[in-house]
Amino acid sequence: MIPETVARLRTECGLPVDPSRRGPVPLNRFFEELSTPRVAHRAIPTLTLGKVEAHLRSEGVEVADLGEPNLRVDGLLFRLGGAAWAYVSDDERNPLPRRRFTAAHELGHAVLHGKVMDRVAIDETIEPNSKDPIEREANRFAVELLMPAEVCRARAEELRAEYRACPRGVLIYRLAAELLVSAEALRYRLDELGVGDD
Amino acid sequence: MTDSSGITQFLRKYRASAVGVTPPRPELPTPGEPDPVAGPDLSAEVDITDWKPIPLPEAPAKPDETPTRFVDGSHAGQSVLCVRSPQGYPIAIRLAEVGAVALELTGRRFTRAFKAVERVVGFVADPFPWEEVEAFATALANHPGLRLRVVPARMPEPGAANPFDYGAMQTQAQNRCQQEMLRLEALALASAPAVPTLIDGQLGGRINTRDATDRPLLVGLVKAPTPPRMPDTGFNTLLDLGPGQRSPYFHDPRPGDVPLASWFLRLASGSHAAPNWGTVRVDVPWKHLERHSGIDARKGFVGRLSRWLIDARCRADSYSRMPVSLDPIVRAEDGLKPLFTPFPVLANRLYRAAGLFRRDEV
Repeated sequence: MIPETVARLRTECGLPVDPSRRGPVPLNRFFEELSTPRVAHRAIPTLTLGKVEAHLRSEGVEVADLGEPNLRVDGLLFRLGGAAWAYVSDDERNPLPRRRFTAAHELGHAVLHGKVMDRVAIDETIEPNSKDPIEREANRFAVELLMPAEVCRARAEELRAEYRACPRGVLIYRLAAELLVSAEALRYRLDELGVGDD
Repeated sequence: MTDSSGITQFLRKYRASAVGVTPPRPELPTPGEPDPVAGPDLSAEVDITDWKPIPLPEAPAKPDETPTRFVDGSHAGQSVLCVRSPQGYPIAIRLAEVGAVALELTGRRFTRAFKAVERVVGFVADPFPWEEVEAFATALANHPGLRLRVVPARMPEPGAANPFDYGAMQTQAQNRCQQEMLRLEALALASAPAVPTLIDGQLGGRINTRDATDRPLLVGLVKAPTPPRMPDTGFNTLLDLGPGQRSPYFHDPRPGDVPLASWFLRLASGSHAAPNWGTVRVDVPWKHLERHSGIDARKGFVGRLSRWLIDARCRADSYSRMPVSLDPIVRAEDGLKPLFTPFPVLANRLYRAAGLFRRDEV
């Protein structure tokens, strides 16, 4: 279901997968192109619930108490009518690839869970093996969006065609750099796709 | 006439040898016992307290005990731009070409069996907004004259370096580009798993334990080795090594990486060579050593391989790293360098794409 949702989103946003083009998936363009809901993203140093509330108020949004103001969170999605705000923590425990993953995860909440979630989805930490089905779906959305299967397979085939080998360890680091995702996330993705030689 | 006997007496007594300028070598760890859990077992061949240089046998190596494929990597690059992050950190942007090559020896002929060259841009990306790095990386990757792959480096560990230190940022970018070279070497290794191979550098990080174990022969030659922590007898042995002598081998379990059998080998000394110059470390997967049962068989293998390495050493005086190099590796290096774009050409393409026509304005 989620791969189909991501494929539909790509069509709606006019951003199809094109393995002949190099570089990361243009996640920011998805935020820009998505119209329902419209999602703005924002990185805030050492994100806390208090900082989210302050930012929402500065945007003119009436916001009730979100919770303990000093609670640190990795990401958060706040939804109001046809608009949403995706927040990502910008701190040393969230390097750039992780911040992108969190942003895609929050976008996943916005796309997938509009009808089932409350106004706010708080992600204290984003666990790859979360037991919460909602969180697992948002993770799956981020994986499908940021690490397209077509690109993973195409890069593996390129390596094999040119060098007669495609060691997974090499593919992980090359593709993680190209797609601006973490090597750990990509390792999971290649394992599940069965791409690359063990 | 002055009496120089006081000079000679002292110098003779303490084994003086003339030394000249030699490249810097890694700093030695403090003498002591290695970590009993993760550290190497230095007494695998000879008890560490009895270590002394071992002369090599004259026996030639057996046919399946010598490498016929030689892998070398190269990394040519420098910082070409400095940007200031939103926090004000000076971030070095390093432009580099990295490559790897493999030469195969057939009879008396070397042929190039593998080549890979790539252009990369490394910089500490964490301080920047992800959407801007995303757009920058896409533009560099798809620019027809550049085709540069961005390799994002991490911020230095908190407390390890001042983020306003430009040098620290340069180091992070350089190390990240170097990793890309190691990946290409790993690719060169993986492309011919059934051929006995020697790689210029350490085996660690380039191959997993299973692949290393399955190969017929795999040798790493480390030109600038950092010895393990060991007692004085170990360091004395390294300093006493003469050309054509080796240290006892030791077992380095390397948790999480390929367990190794390693030893130090003095390839050459040369005129005015410093006492720590000319010694390399030889690594083979421990499992390869275990194919030889019994200590004598293992000593025989290590001795014959070392003899082969001595015979294959570089003899070109004009080559600055001659005393720590093998002739096939120098040939591989010579075969790789011409594949690189002259660096000023590459840098100017980037400056042009960046709008830095006179290098000092955007």
